[in-house]
Amino acid sequence: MDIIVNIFKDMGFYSLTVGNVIMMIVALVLLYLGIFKGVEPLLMVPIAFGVFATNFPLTGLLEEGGLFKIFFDSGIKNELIPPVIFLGLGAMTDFGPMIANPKTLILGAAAQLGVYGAFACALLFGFSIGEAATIGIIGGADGPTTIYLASNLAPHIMGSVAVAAYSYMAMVPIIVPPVVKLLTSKKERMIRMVQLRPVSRIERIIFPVLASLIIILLVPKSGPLIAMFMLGNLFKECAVVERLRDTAANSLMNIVTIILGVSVGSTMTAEVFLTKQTIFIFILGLCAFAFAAAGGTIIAKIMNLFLKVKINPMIGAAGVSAVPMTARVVHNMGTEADPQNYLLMHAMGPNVAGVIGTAVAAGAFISAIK
Amino acid sequence: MVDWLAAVKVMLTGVISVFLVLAILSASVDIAGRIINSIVNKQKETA
Repeated sequence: MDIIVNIFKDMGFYSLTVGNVIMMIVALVLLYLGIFKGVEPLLMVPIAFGVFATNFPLTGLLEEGGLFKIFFDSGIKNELIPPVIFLGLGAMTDFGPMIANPKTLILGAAAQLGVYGAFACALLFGFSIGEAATIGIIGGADGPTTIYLASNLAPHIMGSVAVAAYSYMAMVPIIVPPVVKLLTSKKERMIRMVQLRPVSRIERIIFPVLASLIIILLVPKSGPLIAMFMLGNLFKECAVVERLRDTAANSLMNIVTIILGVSVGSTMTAEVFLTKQTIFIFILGLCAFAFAAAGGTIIAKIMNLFLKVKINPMIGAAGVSAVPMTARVVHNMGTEADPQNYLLMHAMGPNVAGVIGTAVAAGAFISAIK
Repeated sequence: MVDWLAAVKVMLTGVISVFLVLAILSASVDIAGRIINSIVNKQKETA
């Protein structure tokens, strides 16, 4: 009889809690969003399955020596994976539109106002400074940076902020247009921008070196992200290390994305996720995105007061660095106002500048708080 | 209890850092572009 009781006790069913079941349902919802609704599937599917697997009892996945614990400790806790993902992103990023119109870097900075707006709101909601910074960075719309900052300042809320960041990134076409329309007139949305000048190969090669030099010297804590981002971009632009570029942008990126997703998902246990804090994080994440779009648009309008050749203020909203989705959304709004108004390449400038801006904001948070 | 003084410091440091860094980068990219283009144009004229 004891043997049968022991067999039963060793089964997962015996230890399954209501919290586990709820988290499995959350995981299935996330899987549904990733697979059937296209919400950042490359990240959402491994995150969701990580949540699902983690919430089975008695697996030992999160115990010392457990598989997910090893993934988390070696990939995220020691800050390895986000910079490696930045290497891949750099290898896929075209800085040409930003180099052709360097003013757009200011718009990338402007969108970070959303990060600080959400940071202030999170403090009002009772979060600690480290947690508030991690929540604020959701507004940067950059998943790896959000995870990187969370691993530094508030690892216990990493799962919630990562899911919020990736969910809202997929919802850019819903979040950004109302904010931009509220802040711009139709006349402003119709502003056509002059065609960008061609950017030479040498400028493209110099940019990652110059950017690393300036950014890392000014904000050293952004070094891991910026250095890898720029190295990846140098692989792409120098055109003599095609194998390395290909590995960084494809195989390596895919491998670390799997480990990153599962690791982030593994942080979402019932006791951590099923709290009032998670609801606040999702509300604040949405505010962060809206503030970021508003910040970029308002600064673009202010810049227009001083510029001889006006810019379309909508491209400021593209500083929300969900690349290239925000740029596409801005382009669509441009053609909606004037069918001949092609803003895609103009919006790509602030879009990639936003990635740099968010990495700098994360570095600034780490050096000020840690 | 939030230490508001520390929070404001973090916020101001961050905003200033982000704008400063990207403004300097913007100016540097602009200047580098002008220098490179003028060199290229001179080389073309010489050729």
